[in-house]
Amino acid sequence: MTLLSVQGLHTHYHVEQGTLRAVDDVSFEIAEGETVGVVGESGCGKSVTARSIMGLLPRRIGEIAAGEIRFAARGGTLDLAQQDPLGPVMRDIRGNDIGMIFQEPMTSLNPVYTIGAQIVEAIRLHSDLSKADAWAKAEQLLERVGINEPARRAKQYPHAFSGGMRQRAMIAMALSSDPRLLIADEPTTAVDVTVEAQILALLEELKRERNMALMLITHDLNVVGEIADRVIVMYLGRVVETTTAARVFDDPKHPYTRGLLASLPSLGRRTRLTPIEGTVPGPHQRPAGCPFAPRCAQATEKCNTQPPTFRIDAETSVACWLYDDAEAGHA
Amino acid sequence: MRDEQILDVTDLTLRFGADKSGQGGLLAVNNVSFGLNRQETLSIVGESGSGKTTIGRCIARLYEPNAGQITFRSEGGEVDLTHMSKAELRPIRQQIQMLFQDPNASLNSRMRIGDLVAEPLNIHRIGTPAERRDRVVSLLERVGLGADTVNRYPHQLSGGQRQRVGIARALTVSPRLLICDEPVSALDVSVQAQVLNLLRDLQDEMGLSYIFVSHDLGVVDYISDRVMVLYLGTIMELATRDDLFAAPAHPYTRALLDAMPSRRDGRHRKRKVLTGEIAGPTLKRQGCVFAGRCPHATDLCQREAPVLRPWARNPATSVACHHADALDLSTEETTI
Amino acid sequence: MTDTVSNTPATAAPAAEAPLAEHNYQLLSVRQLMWRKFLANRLAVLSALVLILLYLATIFAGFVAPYGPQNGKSRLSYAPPTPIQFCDDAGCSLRPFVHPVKAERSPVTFLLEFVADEEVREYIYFFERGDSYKVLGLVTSDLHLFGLRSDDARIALLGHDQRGRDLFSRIVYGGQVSLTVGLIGVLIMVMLGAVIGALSGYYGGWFDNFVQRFIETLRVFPEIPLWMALSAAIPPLWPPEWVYAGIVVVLAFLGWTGLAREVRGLTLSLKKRDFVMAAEASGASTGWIMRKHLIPNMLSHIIVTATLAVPVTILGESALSFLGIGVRPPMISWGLLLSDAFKVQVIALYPWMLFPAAFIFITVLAFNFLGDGLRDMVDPFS
Repeated sequence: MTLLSVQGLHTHYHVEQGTLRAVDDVSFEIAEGETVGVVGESGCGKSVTARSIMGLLPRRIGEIAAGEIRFAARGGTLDLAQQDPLGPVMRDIRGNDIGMIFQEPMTSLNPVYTIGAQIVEAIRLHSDLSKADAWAKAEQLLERVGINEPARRAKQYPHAFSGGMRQRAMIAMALSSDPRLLIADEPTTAVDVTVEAQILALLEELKRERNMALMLITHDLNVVGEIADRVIVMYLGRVVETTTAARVFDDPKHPYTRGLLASLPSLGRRTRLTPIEGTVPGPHQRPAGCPFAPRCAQATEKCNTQPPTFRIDAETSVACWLYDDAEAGHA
Repeated sequence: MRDEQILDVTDLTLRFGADKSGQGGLLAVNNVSFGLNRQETLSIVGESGSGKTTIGRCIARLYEPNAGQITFRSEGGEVDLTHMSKAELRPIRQQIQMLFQDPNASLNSRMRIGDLVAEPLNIHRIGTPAERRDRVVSLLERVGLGADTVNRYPHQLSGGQRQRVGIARALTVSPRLLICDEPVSALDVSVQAQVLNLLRDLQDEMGLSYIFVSHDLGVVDYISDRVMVLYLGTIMELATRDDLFAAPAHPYTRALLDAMPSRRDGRHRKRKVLTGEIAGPTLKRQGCVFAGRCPHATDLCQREAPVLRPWARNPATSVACHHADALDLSTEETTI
Repeated sequence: MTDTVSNTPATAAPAAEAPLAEHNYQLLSVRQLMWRKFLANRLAVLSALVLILLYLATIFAGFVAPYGPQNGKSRLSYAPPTPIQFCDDAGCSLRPFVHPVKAERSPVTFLLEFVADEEVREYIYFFERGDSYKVLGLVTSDLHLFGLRSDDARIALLGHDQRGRDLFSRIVYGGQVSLTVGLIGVLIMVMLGAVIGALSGYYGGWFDNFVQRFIETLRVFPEIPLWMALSAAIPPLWPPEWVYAGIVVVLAFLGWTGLAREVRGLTLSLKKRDFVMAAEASGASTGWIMRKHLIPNMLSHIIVTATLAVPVTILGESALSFLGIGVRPPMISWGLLLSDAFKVQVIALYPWMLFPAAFIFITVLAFNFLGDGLRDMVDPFS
């Protein structure tokens, strides 16, 4: 069953130099209990998409200009794009139905409260547990995310935690209300590789155990290959390809996805990397047609207009004119 | 082989905040020895706090090591960098250049690209102003930037272009050795490959030797000839790239390889990952530094620190592990 | 049902699409960026204009002021301002005029009161001859921006003081002391503070320790009593110019500490930046790093701090002069002028005697706004 359905989402940032189309006509769905990886380089709009869903856009700067975000909350399906980001509905959704963890666990934790107190606060915000019960639940959660001696650790302050443990504590906090969807925004970018493996394994376990959907935002295709079911590849605010995690490596369709793979150094790869030419254009130099056209080796005249999303089959769709014929054949 | 060596580091030790006798403080680099051949790339890998950046900075003499020798060989003969004054170092510094991680921070934002690239030439007063300008333009073109970049400022360039400026700047004085401190980890994947390829090409063209500091094993696998694995300032393993990735000798190397996120064919396979995290360098040392996290650790490991010595099964590899000869780590382990 | 596909080609961009600004961040040089940032702060631009006007008026004080600073008429003691008018009961005129004041005995209280003489129109002429003065101490002139042709009647935009001198002229002349005290004082402060702070931050060690302890010691004392003590030490028989210099030195001597600390902090943080390390790795000497990397990056911060220190110094001088231990007559400063309004009676009866305070207020405010604007400007990449 579909848990989250984003349709035609446009998110605009109003900055000094004008309006940025940070997210530009993005559509995707996440099913219950599914892990979806959202991959892209800096400026591709992956984090803004997550913030749009959470209603956490910077106030007065970020704005959902169009589109809908239908979410199957416990109390029925809602269009999150229509809700007041500060209103009670969104507050409820944020705490209860959707949890989020961030790249920098240090800045996401308040240094003046103990870890336990912060988790208790998160629990009590959305339930009427007594303080003692909430504290017991916090310890349980800490234990669940793999923190040894939870009773002692809960009384410690964030600075006494290592980077990996802070990220675990953040996960515990996000889990406090049993969310149906967990959004993880680059959760392992700031930690070492051995810790990254631990966190990814933990996320996967938790997801299975709770039938929770996971939206994993990352710049690292390898991370996606590690735990995702499906992959959404974004470039300059647009979804260029949606496919399964296996296919993204075996049979990438969009020239950008192919380029990413060809330029990705990974274990055992000794042949010369083939980088994508040029650089990601700045937010103000957005091409008129297909955003990838200026860097694309296969670009043609047609690419001066934005390609629609062509469905290759049930699992894969791609926004590239190269698949125009496929679309015709399919229809 | 020996004549070709351009850098020979022996027993390098650095303690941050050590007292006058060189004791106390944080032990950041612990008795590290290695050599580097001409036109070779030696990667130093490790997690944060492993001291990999510190070793690079010791060689560039940005940090003063407390003990050990750093012998640098060039046309001018053989010198020990550790015992040179700032003035004596200046001519040597033309031959050892650095490339920094964050091209944003390593370029002075108030200087034009032309002045930034020319700075090493200006410092060493090499050539006439016209010659310097020609050199700057030709290097900028070599790294894939137009001559018009000269008049621009760092903020007007993208991250990848800035790192190219950093490379051009390091190459102006025709160095022999380039110390690359995580040069691609701040860059986007598509740009990262451009810079890696550029570094590889420049090495062939100019006969450069690289010390390549990185935490990304994929990048290391791509660029290195030999790899040094570091844990808490101590060498765990030093081997050729091929040997290291095919048959790691040290359990920590194995753990690093396993931890690399990569596409898993048997999906949702239950993996057991290395537990714990890298300890702070303040902890009192006894035994092997990795013993606390090592799945194969025994009493011996807790008691006695292993020395780095050739591996019985492959003498080209050096490993610091009591049990290296007995363990078979060559196949990827589903459980440790 | 896991995939959704929008088969409509290229959804039209929604209405909110605004045209992007012509100027592109990436196309501008550092200097252009800074200038843009500064211009974006309207208040700072306005403050800069106000300050330019004030300083121009000070440089050409003799020209702007209609009368010399000591030129007074005792019969006009505490006479009120003469407002500039274009119209009166007798009709309107294109040339502005004033009604001169005359003293009359009030029929009610039998006190002498000043009233405007509505019968007489004294027209204001521009570029009139009057009291002679020296421009910047060099050229003698008697040309004034405006004035009356009558010998007897006087124009006083801001009223008269006790000795019947035009307060506006005195304020303009007073600016010569009040406004320059800030600038010269801050210049000395910057030289002391920047050099000591930079050395202290760059070398560290015992020198840094010594400097920091010394600064702390200086800062322990409350400012005003220390000023008072130091300026009271200035010999009373010194000529006024020397006293002025003495006051500047006293203010600067106590003011450099904040700047030194700021510069030290900046040096410490810059020293650790990668680009300084990159220069060091290239073999640059300490002097080179200071000249090419540290100073250019600190200069703008120093300018901001200095700008914000100017009003503090101006207020310091005003306070000292107000208390009678600053500059002495015949020199004039705004603080000294304010000390004439020392008594409640004076303020109640002759409120215009408070005008110097307005000038201090505007100047201090303008410097603060300007400092804020400069602060935005020096970090153009944010």
